Amino acid sequence: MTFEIAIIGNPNVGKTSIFNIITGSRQYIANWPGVTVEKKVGSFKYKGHHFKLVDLPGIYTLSAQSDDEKVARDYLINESPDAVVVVADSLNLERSMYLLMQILEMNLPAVLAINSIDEAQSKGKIINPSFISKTLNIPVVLTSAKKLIGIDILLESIHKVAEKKSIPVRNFIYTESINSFIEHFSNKLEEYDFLKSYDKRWLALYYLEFGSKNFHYPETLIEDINSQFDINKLKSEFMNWKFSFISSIIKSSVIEKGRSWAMRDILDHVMTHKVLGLLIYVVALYFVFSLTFNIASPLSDLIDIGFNYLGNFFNGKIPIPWLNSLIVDGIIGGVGGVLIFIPQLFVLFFFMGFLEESGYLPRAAFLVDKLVRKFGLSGRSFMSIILGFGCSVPAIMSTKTIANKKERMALILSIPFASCSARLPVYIILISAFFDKNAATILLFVYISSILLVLLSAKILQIFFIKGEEVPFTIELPRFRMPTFRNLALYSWNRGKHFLEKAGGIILIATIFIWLLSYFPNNNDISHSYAAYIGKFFEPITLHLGWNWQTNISLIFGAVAKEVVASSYMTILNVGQEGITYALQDILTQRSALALIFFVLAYIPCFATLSVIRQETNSWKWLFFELFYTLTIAYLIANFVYLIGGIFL
Amino acid sequence: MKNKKIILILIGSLSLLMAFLNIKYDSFIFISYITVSLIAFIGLWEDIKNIWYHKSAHIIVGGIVSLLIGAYELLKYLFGWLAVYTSEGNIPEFKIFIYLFSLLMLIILIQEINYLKKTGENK
Ligand SMILES: Nc1nc2c(ncn2[C@@H]2O[C@H](COP(=O)(O)OP(=O)(O)OP(=O)(O)O)[C@@H](O)[C@H]2O)c(=O)[nH]1
Ligand SMILES: [Mg+2]
Repeated sequence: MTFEIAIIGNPNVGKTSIFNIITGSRQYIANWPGVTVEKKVGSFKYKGHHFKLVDLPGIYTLSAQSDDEKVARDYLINESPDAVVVVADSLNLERSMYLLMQILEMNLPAVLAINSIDEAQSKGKIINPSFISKTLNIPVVLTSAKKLIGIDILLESIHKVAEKKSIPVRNFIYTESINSFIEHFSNKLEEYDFLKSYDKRWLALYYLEFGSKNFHYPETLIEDINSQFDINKLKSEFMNWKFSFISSIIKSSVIEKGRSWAMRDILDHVMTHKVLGLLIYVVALYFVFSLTFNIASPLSDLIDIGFNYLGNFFNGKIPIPWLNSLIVDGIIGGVGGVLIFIPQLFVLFFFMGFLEESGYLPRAAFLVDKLVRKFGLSGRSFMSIILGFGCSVPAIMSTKTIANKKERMALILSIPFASCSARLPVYIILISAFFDKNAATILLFVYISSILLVLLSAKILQIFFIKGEEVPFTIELPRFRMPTFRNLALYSWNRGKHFLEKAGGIILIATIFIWLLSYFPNNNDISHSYAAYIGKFFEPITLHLGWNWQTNISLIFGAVAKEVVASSYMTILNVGQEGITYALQDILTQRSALALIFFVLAYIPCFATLSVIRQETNSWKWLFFELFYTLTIAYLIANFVYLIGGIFL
Repeated sequence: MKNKKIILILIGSLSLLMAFLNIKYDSFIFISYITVSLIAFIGLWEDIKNIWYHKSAHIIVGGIVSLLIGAYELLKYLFGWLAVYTSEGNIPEFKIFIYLFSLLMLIILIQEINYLKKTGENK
């Protein structure tokens, strides 16, 4: 038989890290609260038994507001796992205890894992698990997912708890009045058949703590209870009881000695300063973009030399002219034209990894919270925007933690304006060709504009299209952690692998398609090819921006994946990376290039993004809206930038 | 360190000077030096919440940003040589003062952290 084990705990305590170790999987881990937003299932074997392990989103209490919290709450209420591993943070043990108490009130078979014990030790904090274990009558294990401490003992405890059929009695000694409330409530419950499967004492306590909004209590029952008891008074009595019970446990089991300061406080003192904090954030972004040009570009040239060599090697060796052209100009030219951006992308991914792993990402949320509220968003939303610099898909997924429906909707539809990594190659070829002197500065400018665009769009959408009510927001700053090189490398590799798969898949297909269109019907006379005809068809609405058919056809195919804009330029202009600069200078001006950069920034999200928008908004209507919306905005912005560009350039 | 005021003034004015020396050379470096200088000067004047490590924090973060500048400059220099071979770029400049500044800041940073480790216990 298979045992089902659930992992639950506050956000960012290391649940997924433990899940990954036990099951050997590679779920998404990062140092900010709200990384896991869906239920994830894995399995493992221990002492000949099969176990199914369920990783859940983090929650603070069993009352849920946002979609991800509901997943965790509903699981706990409706499923009956054979054991629940409550993961707690050793440096924040007290807060985790509230959730643990709620789990124990539900009478679930629990194991407490006090994680990140390595960090507690280095701070001189000593935790005595046996005291907690005896008081609560559950196994308590000290673990570290980073240093792999305590995992074996954890598995052993899980095994023991799961095998034991009966749950040990835990008789918390509540006050007299609470006891009589529980008594009365449970007796009343006998009248309702459909509540039979729930623990009666728990239903009473759950009602006391959270009222009736989280659970469908029968109305007649509520009326009866409210007429018999002063719920508010009882509730505060109950909360006080819990508070003092938990503090007494903590007092007797945790010894803190030594340092009163931590590097984290010191860094935060400056990094969350309202002016300096933002400035340092901008410097960090600027750093990445400068590296993109200064260190990644030479590497990228090196790869380009490789592809040129490859192209020359094949050129002429293939006797069939069209096949020769397909391989040399189409595949090697086009796909190679995208692959040369691997170094730039890795710089970006490495940086994104650092942001996520170090805990610096949520600081941005904290810094701009006041500012972005003017746009109807919260700091939490801002975090998703920055995540969008990597890829829109996880950024949109991360909006699940936003409880405010209206804000979330506006954000989902606006995140595609955050400049994702697929657009980077296009920016780079255009910026290198037209703004070589201030390349990094222009790139920074593009990214900052993209943030502004998301904010404005969210505001516009909330004024005109999306209605709803406000829900308050809180974000907890995780502590700074030095990311290990291994983690960063792994992170970059995962993202990079995705890019390579795209290059070998959709980009390759699009490139071949473009080649076909540009080769036929007049064998290699490109200006009379299908591609030219299609591109020219759109010239009436693009020529005033200085975009001719070559640009148009690249943009059309770029709708599939933004990198394709770059690769199709290479195919159509029939040049490598070195020649692309001159070829582009022939067909565009500085002004029209800048307009093009902004068009590419804003227009049509890729397929993957569209499908996740469809999934998260749960409607086709919004998907089509998004297509139309982004295209319109992009066109307006391109015209606007072209106009402004006329003044400065 | 004891004379934090003097250290902060030193960092603030030195980085301001470095900023203007490099204004034409690289705008990232320029902005970063300005940032370091602001961090130092604000550390001097603004201490509303009266946190005991206020000045140390500004020294340390200023130091970290300076290290970033040094690392950036070094990478730029090394990859500049690569560019000479791959795309006939110009021979990169060796900006000795940028390295010296970062080195100085590294020493200050280490001193400050050691100081915190010693005194932080009794606060
Ligand atoms: N030093 C240390 N860091 C840890 C440990 N366990 C996890 N971390 C780090 O803590 C952060 C959060 O880890 P996750 O596993 O994503 O936490 P989670 O509980 O799944 O978070 P959510 O899904 O957001 O609720 C990551 O940066 C981990 O590297 C540990 O034992 N020691
Ligand atoms: Mg998780």
